[in-house]
Amino acid sequence: MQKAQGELRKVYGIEVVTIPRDRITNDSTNESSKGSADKRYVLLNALELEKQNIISNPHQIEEYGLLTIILAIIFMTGGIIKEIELLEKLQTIVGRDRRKPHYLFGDVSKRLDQFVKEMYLNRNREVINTEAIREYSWGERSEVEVNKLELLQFVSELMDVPIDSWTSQYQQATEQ
Amino acid sequence: MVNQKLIQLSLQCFIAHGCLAEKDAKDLIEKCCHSCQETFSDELFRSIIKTVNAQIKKFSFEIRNGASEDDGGQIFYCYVNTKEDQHSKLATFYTVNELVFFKAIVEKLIGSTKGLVSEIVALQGKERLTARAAEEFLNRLINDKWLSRTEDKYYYLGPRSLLDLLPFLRSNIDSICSVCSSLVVRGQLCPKCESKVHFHCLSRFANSRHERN
Repeated sequence: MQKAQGELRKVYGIEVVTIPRDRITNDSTNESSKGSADKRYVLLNALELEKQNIISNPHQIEEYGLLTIILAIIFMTGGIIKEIELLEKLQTIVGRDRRKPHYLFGDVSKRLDQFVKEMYLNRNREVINTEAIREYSWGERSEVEVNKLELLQFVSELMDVPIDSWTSQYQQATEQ
Repeated sequence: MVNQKLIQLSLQCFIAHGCLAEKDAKDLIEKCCHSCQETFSDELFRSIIKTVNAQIKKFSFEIRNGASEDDGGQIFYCYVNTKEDQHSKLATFYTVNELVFFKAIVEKLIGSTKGLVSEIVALQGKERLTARAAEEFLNRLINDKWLSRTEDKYYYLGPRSLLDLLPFLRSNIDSICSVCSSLVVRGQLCPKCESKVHFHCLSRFANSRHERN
Protein backbone atom coordinates (compact mmCIF):
# COMPACT_ATOMS: atom_id res chain seq x y z
CA MET A 1 0.00 0.00 0.00
CA GLN A 2 2.79 2.38 0.90
CA LYS A 3 4.48 1.73 -2.41
CA ALA A 4 1.21 2.40 -4.23
CA GLN A 5 0.79 5.65 -2.33
CA GLY A 6 4.32 6.67 -3.27
CA GLU A 7 3.74 5.96 -6.95
CA LEU A 8 0.41 7.77 -6.99
CA ARG A 9 2.04 10.77 -5.38
CA LYS A 10 5.10 10.82 -7.63
CA VAL A 11 3.61 9.96 -11.00
CA TYR A 12 0.02 11.18 -10.76
CA GLY A 13 0.26 13.92 -8.14
CA ILE A 14 -2.50 12.22 -6.13
CA GLU A 15 -2.47 11.73 -2.36
CA VAL A 16 -4.20 8.79 -0.75
CA VAL A 17 -5.68 9.82 2.58
CA THR A 18 -7.17 7.53 5.21
CA ILE A 19 -10.44 8.51 6.77
CA PRO A 20 -10.22 7.92 10.53
CA ARG A 21 -12.48 5.15 11.78
CA ASP A 22 -14.18 7.19 14.49
CA ARG A 23 -15.53 9.64 11.96
CA ILE A 24 -17.60 7.05 10.17
CA THR A 25 -21.26 7.62 11.09
CA ASN A 26 -23.90 5.03 11.72
CA ASP A 27 -26.30 6.52 9.24
CA SER A 28 -27.95 3.51 7.66
CA THR A 29 -28.79 5.41 4.49
CA ASN A 30 -25.08 5.60 3.74
CA GLU A 31 -24.54 2.26 2.04
CA SER A 32 -20.81 2.34 2.20
CA SER A 33 -20.76 2.27 5.99
CA LYS A 34 -22.37 -1.17 5.99
CA GLY A 35 -19.89 -3.97 6.25
CA SER A 36 -16.76 -3.98 8.30
CA ALA A 37 -14.21 -1.88 6.44
CA ASP A 38 -11.51 -0.87 8.87
CA LYS A 39 -10.09 1.84 6.75
CA ARG A 40 -11.46 3.99 4.06
CA TYR A 41 -9.44 5.90 1.55
CA VAL A 42 -9.96 9.09 -0.33
CA LEU A 43 -7.94 10.38 -3.26
CA LEU A 44 -6.84 13.99 -3.00
CA ASN A 45 -5.28 16.09 -5.68
CA ALA A 46 -1.84 17.21 -4.55
CA LEU A 47 -1.55 19.87 -7.24
CA GLU A 48 -2.24 23.50 -6.44
CA LEU A 49 -5.77 24.77 -7.00
CA GLU A 50 -4.91 26.94 -9.99
CA LYS A 51 -3.49 23.92 -11.74
CA GLN A 52 -6.56 21.88 -10.89
CA ASN A 53 -8.70 24.39 -12.75
CA ILE A 54 -7.02 23.41 -15.99
CA ILE A 55 -7.95 19.80 -15.49
CA SER A 56 -11.62 20.26 -14.69
CA ASN A 57 -14.14 18.92 -17.12
CA PRO A 58 -16.96 21.42 -17.74
CA HIS A 59 -19.58 18.88 -16.54
CA GLN A 60 -17.90 18.45 -13.20
CA ILE A 61 -17.69 22.15 -12.49
CA GLU A 62 -21.50 22.48 -12.32
CA GLU A 63 -21.95 19.60 -9.91
CA TYR A 64 -19.16 20.56 -7.58
CA GLY A 65 -20.09 24.22 -7.78
CA LEU A 66 -23.39 23.25 -6.20
CA LEU A 67 -21.58 21.19 -3.59
CA THR A 68 -19.36 24.12 -2.68
CA ILE A 69 -22.41 26.30 -2.14
CA ILE A 70 -24.08 23.65 0.00
CA LEU A 71 -20.94 23.15 2.09
CA ALA A 72 -20.61 26.91 2.51
CA ILE A 73 -24.22 27.20 3.66
CA ILE A 74 -23.77 24.40 6.18
CA PHE A 75 -20.48 25.83 7.42
CA MET A 76 -21.90 29.29 7.90
CA THR A 77 -25.01 28.07 9.73
CA GLY A 78 -23.03 26.24 12.38
CA GLY A 79 -22.21 22.89 10.83
CA ILE A 80 -25.65 21.32 10.59
CA ILE A 81 -28.85 22.36 8.85
CA LYS A 82 -32.38 21.04 8.33
CA GLU A 83 -33.20 19.95 4.80
CA ILE A 84 -36.03 22.47 4.41
CA GLU A 85 -33.81 25.38 5.41
CA LEU A 86 -31.07 24.19 3.09
CA LEU A 87 -33.41 23.97 0.14
CA GLU A 88 -34.87 27.41 0.88
CA LYS A 89 -31.43 28.97 1.09
CA LEU A 90 -30.39 27.27 -2.12
CA GLN A 91 -33.39 28.58 -3.94
CA THR A 92 -32.57 32.15 -2.88
CA ILE A 93 -28.89 31.87 -3.69
CA VAL A 94 -29.04 29.87 -6.86
CA GLY A 95 -32.13 31.80 -7.91
CA ARG A 96 -33.55 29.25 -10.27
CA ASP A 97 -36.85 29.56 -12.05
CA ARG A 98 -39.48 30.13 -9.36
CA ARG A 99 -42.26 29.07 -11.63
CA LYS A 100 -40.99 25.54 -11.36
CA PRO A 101 -40.11 24.89 -7.72
CA HIS A 102 -40.45 21.16 -8.03
CA TYR A 103 -37.98 21.05 -10.86
CA LEU A 104 -35.49 22.64 -8.48
CA PHE A 105 -36.29 20.25 -5.63
CA GLY A 106 -36.27 17.26 -7.91
CA ASP A 107 -32.91 18.10 -9.39
CA VAL A 108 -31.30 19.08 -6.10
CA SER A 109 -32.61 16.01 -4.29
CA LYS A 110 -30.80 13.84 -6.80
CA ARG A 111 -27.59 15.79 -6.24
CA LEU A 112 -27.98 15.58 -2.46
CA ASP A 113 -28.36 11.79 -2.73
CA GLN A 114 -25.26 11.70 -4.88
CA PHE A 115 -23.24 13.81 -2.47
CA VAL A 116 -24.31 11.70 0.50
CA LYS A 117 -23.34 8.55 -1.38
CA GLU A 118 -19.96 10.04 -2.27
CA MET A 119 -19.43 10.94 1.41
CA TYR A 120 -19.32 14.67 0.79
CA LEU A 121 -22.42 15.15 2.93
CA ASN A 122 -23.84 13.41 5.99
CA ARG A 123 -27.53 12.97 6.33
CA ASN A 124 -29.27 12.41 9.69
CA ARG A 125 -32.85 11.56 10.37
CA GLU A 126 -34.28 13.10 13.50
CA VAL A 127 -37.78 12.60 14.82
CA ILE A 128 -39.12 15.75 16.45
CA ASN A 129 -42.74 15.80 17.62
CA THR A 130 -43.53 12.68 15.58
CA GLU A 131 -42.25 14.41 12.48
CA ALA A 132 -39.24 12.96 10.71
CA ILE A 133 -36.90 15.63 9.46
CA ARG A 134 -33.60 15.30 7.67
CA GLU A 135 -30.47 17.20 8.54
CA TYR A 136 -27.25 17.67 6.64
CA SER A 137 -23.69 18.19 7.81
CA TRP A 138 -20.27 17.90 6.23
CA GLY A 139 -19.31 14.38 5.23
CA GLU A 140 -15.98 12.80 6.08
CA ARG A 141 -14.73 13.32 2.57
CA SER A 142 -15.43 17.05 2.65
CA GLU A 143 -13.59 17.34 5.96
CA VAL A 144 -10.55 15.88 4.27
CA GLU A 145 -10.80 17.43 0.82
CA VAL A 146 -12.15 20.91 1.37
CA ASN A 147 -10.04 23.69 2.76
CA LYS A 148 -12.23 25.63 5.23
CA LEU A 149 -10.06 28.72 5.03
CA GLU A 150 -10.41 28.92 1.25
CA LEU A 151 -14.15 28.41 1.56
CA LEU A 152 -14.42 31.16 4.16
CA GLN A 153 -12.36 33.43 1.94
CA PHE A 154 -14.78 32.75 -0.90
CA VAL A 155 -17.77 33.62 1.29
CA SER A 156 -16.08 36.77 2.63
CA GLU A 157 -15.36 38.01 -0.86
CA LEU A 158 -18.92 37.27 -1.90
CA MET A 159 -20.39 39.17 1.05
CA ASP A 160 -17.66 41.81 0.87
CA VAL A 161 -16.75 41.65 4.56
CA PRO A 162 -13.45 40.86 6.25
CA ILE A 163 -12.76 37.20 6.79
CA ASP A 164 -12.51 37.37 10.57
CA SER A 165 -15.97 38.90 11.05
CA TRP A 166 -17.22 35.35 11.49
CA THR A 167 -15.24 34.55 14.60
CA SER A 168 -16.47 31.01 15.14
CA GLN A 169 -15.97 29.92 11.54
CA TYR A 170 -12.65 31.71 11.30
CA GLN A 171 -11.44 29.86 14.37
CA GLN A 172 -12.50 26.52 12.92
CA ALA A 173 -10.90 27.33 9.60
CA THR A 174 -7.55 28.31 11.06
CA GLU A 175 -7.43 25.34 13.38
CA GLN A 176 -7.43 22.99 10.39
CA MET B 1 14.18 15.83 -18.09
CA VAL B 2 10.67 17.16 -17.94
CA ASN B 3 9.49 18.89 -14.76
CA GLN B 4 7.62 16.24 -12.71
CA LYS B 5 4.85 18.67 -11.73
CA LEU B 6 4.20 19.21 -15.42
CA ILE B 7 4.07 15.44 -15.91
CA GLN B 8 1.53 15.07 -13.09
CA LEU B 9 -0.62 17.90 -14.39
CA SER B 10 -0.56 16.64 -17.98
CA LEU B 11 -1.39 13.13 -16.89
CA GLN B 12 -4.35 14.30 -14.81
CA CYS B 13 -5.58 16.26 -17.81
CA PHE B 14 -5.55 13.23 -20.07
CA ILE B 15 -7.34 11.15 -17.47
CA ALA B 16 -9.97 13.83 -16.87
CA HIS B 17 -10.72 14.41 -20.53
CA GLY B 18 -10.84 10.84 -21.78
CA CYS B 19 -10.24 11.06 -25.50
CA LEU B 20 -8.87 14.26 -27.02
CA ALA B 21 -8.33 15.42 -30.57
CA GLU B 22 -4.70 16.36 -31.20
CA LYS B 23 -5.39 20.08 -31.36
CA ASP B 24 -7.37 20.01 -28.09
CA ALA B 25 -4.68 17.92 -26.43
CA LYS B 26 -2.02 20.40 -27.46
CA ASP B 27 -4.10 23.37 -26.27
CA LEU B 28 -4.62 21.71 -22.91
CA ILE B 29 -0.96 20.79 -22.50
CA GLU B 30 -0.02 24.32 -23.49
CA LYS B 31 -2.07 25.56 -20.51
CA CYS B 32 -0.29 23.04 -18.31
CA CYS B 33 3.11 24.24 -19.55
CA HIS B 34 2.14 27.83 -18.93
CA SER B 35 1.06 26.97 -15.41
CA CYS B 36 4.44 25.35 -14.76
CA GLN B 37 6.39 28.22 -16.29
CA GLU B 38 7.51 26.22 -19.30
CA THR B 39 7.31 27.25 -22.92
CA PHE B 40 5.12 25.04 -25.04
CA SER B 41 6.44 23.48 -28.21
CA ASP B 42 5.51 20.44 -30.26
CA GLU B 43 8.73 18.87 -29.13
CA LEU B 44 7.89 19.41 -25.46
CA PHE B 45 4.44 17.94 -26.11
CA ARG B 46 5.98 14.77 -27.55
CA SER B 47 8.50 14.65 -24.74
CA ILE B 48 5.78 14.91 -22.09
CA ILE B 49 3.80 12.07 -23.64
CA LYS B 50 6.91 9.94 -23.89
CA THR B 51 7.90 10.58 -20.27
CA VAL B 52 4.36 9.97 -18.99
CA ASN B 53 4.15 6.70 -20.89
CA ALA B 54 7.51 5.57 -19.53
CA GLN B 55 6.28 6.20 -15.99
CA ILE B 56 2.82 4.64 -16.28
CA LYS B 57 3.80 1.61 -18.31
CA LYS B 58 4.35 -0.51 -15.20
CA PHE B 59 0.76 0.15 -14.10
CA SER B 60 -0.48 -1.13 -17.48
CA PHE B 61 -1.55 2.29 -18.68
CA GLU B 62 -0.63 4.25 -21.76
CA ILE B 63 -1.50 7.46 -23.55
CA ARG B 64 -2.18 5.95 -26.88
CA ASN B 65 -2.67 7.88 -30.10
CA GLY B 66 -4.17 6.94 -33.41
CA ALA B 67 -6.25 8.14 -36.32
CA SER B 68 -10.03 8.24 -36.30
CA GLU B 69 -11.87 6.62 -39.17
CA ASP B 70 -13.71 9.72 -40.31
CA ASP B 71 -12.85 11.22 -43.68
CA GLY B 72 -10.11 13.45 -42.31
CA GLY B 73 -8.32 10.83 -40.24
CA GLN B 74 -7.64 13.19 -37.34
CA ILE B 75 -5.26 12.03 -34.65
CA PHE B 76 -6.66 11.44 -31.15
CA TYR B 77 -5.01 10.85 -27.77
CA CYS B 78 -6.51 8.61 -25.15
CA TYR B 79 -5.50 7.37 -21.68
CA VAL B 80 -6.02 3.61 -21.93
CA ASN B 81 -5.60 0.53 -19.82
CA THR B 82 -3.40 -1.84 -21.74
CA LYS B 83 -4.48 -4.91 -19.87
CA GLU B 84 -8.05 -4.91 -18.67
CA ASP B 85 -11.03 -6.75 -20.06
CA GLN B 86 -12.48 -4.70 -22.84
CA HIS B 87 -16.07 -4.15 -21.88
CA SER B 88 -15.38 -3.33 -18.29
CA LYS B 89 -13.67 -0.20 -19.54
CA LEU B 90 -17.00 1.50 -20.00
CA ALA B 91 -18.46 -0.01 -16.86
CA THR B 92 -17.78 2.97 -14.63
CA PHE B 93 -19.66 5.37 -16.85
CA TYR B 94 -22.75 3.54 -18.04
CA THR B 95 -25.42 1.18 -16.73
CA VAL B 96 -25.50 -2.55 -17.41
CA ASN B 97 -28.33 -2.25 -19.93
CA GLU B 98 -26.48 0.50 -21.76
CA LEU B 99 -23.37 -1.64 -21.94
CA VAL B 100 -25.30 -4.57 -23.40
CA PHE B 101 -26.65 -2.21 -26.04
CA PHE B 102 -23.20 -0.83 -26.82
CA LYS B 103 -21.73 -4.28 -27.12
CA ALA B 104 -24.46 -5.24 -29.60
CA ILE B 105 -23.60 -2.23 -31.75
CA VAL B 106 -19.88 -2.99 -31.68
CA GLU B 107 -20.53 -6.57 -32.74
CA LYS B 108 -22.66 -5.38 -35.66
CA LEU B 109 -19.96 -2.93 -36.70
CA ILE B 110 -17.24 -5.54 -36.59
CA GLY B 111 -19.38 -7.90 -38.63
CA SER B 112 -20.34 -5.37 -41.29
CA THR B 113 -18.26 -5.07 -44.45
CA LYS B 114 -18.21 -1.28 -44.44
CA GLY B 115 -17.87 -0.76 -40.71
CA LEU B 116 -21.17 1.15 -40.68
CA VAL B 117 -24.61 0.53 -39.22
CA SER B 118 -27.71 2.59 -39.81
CA GLU B 119 -29.45 4.12 -36.82
CA ILE B 120 -32.42 1.80 -37.26
CA VAL B 121 -30.27 -1.31 -37.17
CA ALA B 122 -28.25 0.05 -34.26
CA LEU B 123 -31.39 0.71 -32.23
CA GLN B 124 -32.59 -2.84 -32.76
CA GLY B 125 -30.15 -3.94 -30.08
CA LYS B 126 -31.56 -1.68 -27.41
CA GLU B 127 -33.32 -4.50 -25.51
CA ARG B 128 -34.13 -3.22 -22.06
CA LEU B 129 -33.78 0.45 -22.81
CA THR B 130 -36.68 2.65 -23.84
CA ALA B 131 -36.42 4.21 -27.29
CA ARG B 132 -35.74 7.59 -25.71
CA ALA B 133 -33.08 6.27 -23.33
CA ALA B 134 -31.41 4.47 -26.21
CA GLU B 135 -31.26 7.63 -28.31
CA GLU B 136 -29.89 9.67 -25.42
CA PHE B 137 -27.30 7.00 -24.78
CA LEU B 138 -26.25 7.04 -28.44
CA ASN B 139 -25.75 10.79 -28.19
CA ARG B 140 -23.63 10.37 -25.09
CA LEU B 141 -21.54 7.73 -26.82
CA ILE B 142 -20.90 10.15 -29.65
CA ASN B 143 -20.04 12.93 -27.21
CA ASP B 144 -17.58 10.67 -25.41
CA LYS B 145 -16.20 9.54 -28.75
CA TRP B 146 -16.94 5.84 -28.46
CA LEU B 147 -19.02 6.15 -31.62
CA SER B 148 -19.13 8.55 -34.55
CA ARG B 149 -22.04 9.34 -36.81
CA THR B 150 -22.25 10.40 -40.45
CA GLU B 151 -24.61 13.12 -41.65
CA ASP B 152 -27.06 10.54 -42.92
CA LYS B 153 -27.13 8.87 -39.50
CA TYR B 154 -24.87 5.90 -40.00
CA TYR B 155 -22.78 4.91 -36.99
CA TYR B 156 -19.18 3.76 -36.96
CA LEU B 157 -16.53 3.23 -34.32
CA GLY B 158 -15.30 6.46 -32.76
CA PRO B 159 -11.66 7.21 -31.93
CA ARG B 160 -12.04 6.19 -28.30
CA SER B 161 -13.22 2.71 -29.26
CA LEU B 162 -10.42 2.37 -31.79
CA LEU B 163 -7.82 3.28 -29.19
CA ASP B 164 -9.22 1.88 -25.96
CA LEU B 165 -10.65 -1.36 -27.35
CA LEU B 166 -7.69 -2.04 -29.63
CA PRO B 167 -6.79 -5.49 -28.28
CA PHE B 168 -10.42 -6.59 -28.57
CA LEU B 169 -10.65 -5.29 -32.14
CA ARG B 170 -7.38 -6.93 -33.14
CA SER B 171 -8.60 -10.30 -31.98
CA ASN B 172 -11.88 -9.97 -33.87
CA ILE B 173 -10.95 -8.22 -37.08
CA ASP B 174 -8.62 -9.32 -39.84
CA SER B 175 -8.77 -6.40 -42.22
CA ILE B 176 -5.64 -4.29 -42.46
CA CYS B 177 -5.50 -1.04 -44.41
CA SER B 178 -3.52 -1.52 -47.61
CA VAL B 179 -1.89 1.88 -47.24
CA CYS B 180 -0.99 2.30 -43.55
CA SER B 181 -1.08 -1.38 -42.51
CA SER B 182 -3.02 -0.80 -39.32
CA LEU B 183 -6.44 -2.11 -38.41
CA VAL B 184 -9.34 -0.84 -40.48
CA VAL B 185 -13.04 -1.11 -39.68
CA ARG B 186 -14.57 1.66 -41.76
CA GLY B 187 -13.03 2.28 -45.13
CA GLN B 188 -13.23 2.06 -48.90
CA LEU B 189 -13.58 -1.43 -50.31
CA CYS B 190 -11.77 -2.35 -53.47
CA PRO B 191 -14.33 -3.51 -56.03
CA LYS B 192 -11.97 -6.15 -57.38
CA CYS B 193 -10.06 -7.64 -54.48
CA GLU B 194 -11.01 -7.88 -50.83
CA SER B 195 -8.81 -5.14 -49.48
CA LYS B 196 -10.04 -2.17 -47.49
CA VAL B 197 -8.42 1.24 -47.19
CA HIS B 198 -9.04 4.05 -44.69
CA PHE B 199 -10.72 6.98 -46.40
CA HIS B 200 -8.01 9.35 -45.22
CA CYS B 201 -5.29 6.95 -46.36
CA LEU B 202 -6.96 6.70 -49.75
CA SER B 203 -7.13 10.46 -50.28
CA ARG B 204 -3.53 10.90 -49.19
CA PHE B 205 -2.47 8.17 -51.58
CA ALA B 206 -4.52 9.62 -54.43
CA ASN B 207 -3.09 13.10 -53.80
CA SER B 208 0.48 11.90 -53.80
CA ARG B 209 -0.06 10.16 -57.11
CA HIS B 210 -1.53 13.36 -58.52
CA GLU B 211 1.58 15.26 -57.51
CA ARG B 212 3.84 12.77 -59.17
CA ASN B 213 1.95 13.07 -62.44
